[in-house]
Amino acid sequence: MSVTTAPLMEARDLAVNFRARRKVTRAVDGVSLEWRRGEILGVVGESGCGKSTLARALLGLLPPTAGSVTSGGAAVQGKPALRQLRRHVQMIFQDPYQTLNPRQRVATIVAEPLIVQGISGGDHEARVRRALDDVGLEPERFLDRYPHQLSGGQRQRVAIAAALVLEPDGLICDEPVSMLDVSVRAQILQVLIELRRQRDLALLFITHDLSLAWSLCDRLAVMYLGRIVEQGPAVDVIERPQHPYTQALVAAVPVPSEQARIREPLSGELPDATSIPPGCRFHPRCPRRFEPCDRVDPPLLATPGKGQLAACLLHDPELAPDAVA
Amino acid sequence: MSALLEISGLRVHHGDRPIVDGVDLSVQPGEALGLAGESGCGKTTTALALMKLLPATFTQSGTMTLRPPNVEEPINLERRTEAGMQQVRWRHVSLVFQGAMNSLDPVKRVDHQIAQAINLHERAAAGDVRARIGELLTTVGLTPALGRRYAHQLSGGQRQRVMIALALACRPSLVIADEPTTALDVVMQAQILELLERLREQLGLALILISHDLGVLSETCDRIAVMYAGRIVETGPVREVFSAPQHPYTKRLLDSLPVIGGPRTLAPPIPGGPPDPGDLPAGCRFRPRCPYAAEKCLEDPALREVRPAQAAACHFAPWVEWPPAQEAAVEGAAG
Repeated sequence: MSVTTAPLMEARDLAVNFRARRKVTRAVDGVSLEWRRGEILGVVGESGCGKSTLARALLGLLPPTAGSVTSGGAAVQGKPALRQLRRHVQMIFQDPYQTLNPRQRVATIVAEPLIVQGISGGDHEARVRRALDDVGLEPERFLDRYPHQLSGGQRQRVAIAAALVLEPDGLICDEPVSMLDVSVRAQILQVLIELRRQRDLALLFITHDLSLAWSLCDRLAVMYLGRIVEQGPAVDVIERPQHPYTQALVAAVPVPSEQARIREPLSGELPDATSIPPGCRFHPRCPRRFEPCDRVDPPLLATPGKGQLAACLLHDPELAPDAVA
Repeated sequence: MSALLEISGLRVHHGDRPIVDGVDLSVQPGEALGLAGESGCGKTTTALALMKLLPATFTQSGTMTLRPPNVEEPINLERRTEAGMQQVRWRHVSLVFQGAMNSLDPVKRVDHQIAQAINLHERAAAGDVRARIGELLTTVGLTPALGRRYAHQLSGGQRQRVMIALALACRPSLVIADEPTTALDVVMQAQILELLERLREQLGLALILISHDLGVLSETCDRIAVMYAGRIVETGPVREVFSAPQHPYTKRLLDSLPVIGGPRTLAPPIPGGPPDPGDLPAGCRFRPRCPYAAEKCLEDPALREVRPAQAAACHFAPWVEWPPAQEAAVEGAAG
């Protein structure tokens, strides 16, 4: 696996606002993130935390309100740059039932990106077959089928094949398995892991499933209300979370085989992104808040974990109370 | 102690396709039973058959006996007519189904909907009903003032709580919850699961929790039944089934779940998909996908006790040790 220094994609102070009825929803509110080549980067958080909006903004499917997105060091702005970007980075979505055109055969669906990108040459069919092979669908059996003739898992494989036909360097996966059954899920994950092993395909994996993120990802970014509140190596972030929000998320994961335990679920709900609390945006729900948390908005700070950053004043040497855990 | 609910030989057919094929289940008063399995295995159909809510195109047979604590004669659900079932639903057994939070009436206030459910079953003074609604909302962790809201003014978690309040409105002794947390986030899910646990304790409620999420079941249930292709393939105390599964299907399902702190490599997935109910394989229904299948498996295995209180439908159970799996050769392994 070659992880070179130039990131595949990078966001700097990225913000995406939505306006409706004089209210401004700050869906992504100042995110800086590096997605390295060949890396599986996980983005986790509750629904409404802005993780899907972030993914769409990276691909230029949503215009950023502020900040920048670069790919391989070049700014992604304007149509030609976006077109170029989508040759290198593709995306698959959660619902394999809604993303495939019901009136097209698999062969047409998978070939479409080649046509959209204006890739000439008579090898379209060969490329489509190879993409189907890569996702474990025999071309002979599936080329002529329509989406309704496929199971949920097969549809998601077709969606992946269509994303792969351009041989991209990166694939953004927005909850790709959360609608699938356990055994089908494992099959799709195996396809993705195999692709990364064979082709060094980088994955940006958006999920609310922390166990999955823990087992699959190299690095992890935890989002809360439009902001990354913790990031670092996936194993460390989940096993030794440094932000109280990550700690609460991890504690909420149901664990098979574990003794029934007394849990203290995080109280309250994710506030509305139209009214982000002042200071640390997590402070109204935080079990460990202290004096300046309602006034000081913490940046990502170094923590005792190597390469692990957390946006929490507990890690601010000047403001934190003495008892830093 | 006699069981609160006893289901025996339940079969549900859709045309000539067996969707549920001989299911026996019992639930003790106050017990939480988990019904696990993947889409299409028959777990939701089992719940709907119990409530007699299946569309007319389905036929069901088998006995279903309910013994609510405040009723002298046991209720034989299989003999009840639709009018008779209306006396049972909500009053003795409530169902909170998948995506239920989207089934609230959008044009009626929440308290109005709860009042309707109560008035359908009992004659109560308006003041009493109002007091009960306040109490119910408090029980499920909402402030009574939320009763004045409409569904669209509530969050997903709040709507799910309202649905649970509705299910409790007539003080049933059994609640069936079909994937109650599937559409919710981990944090909200933890809150709802904690609520269900608390209700069991406070109200002595029995619970049938249907979920494909084994983690959710393990934390909430006393016993678990794993379904595959219309049948129960394994059942037992939750801790036993999770620590020492006795059916290859259960074993492989558990293996394919990543567990924080466990091995980070994903186990090889179960190849293929579940069989079509109209085209079931001969013998053990898991045979074509089972890495341990042998000739003996062409005979249908019965569900039998293989360890204390734990039963499995596998010829080779009890499994003391799981040999390394040789992948079953499945034609067109794509699920």
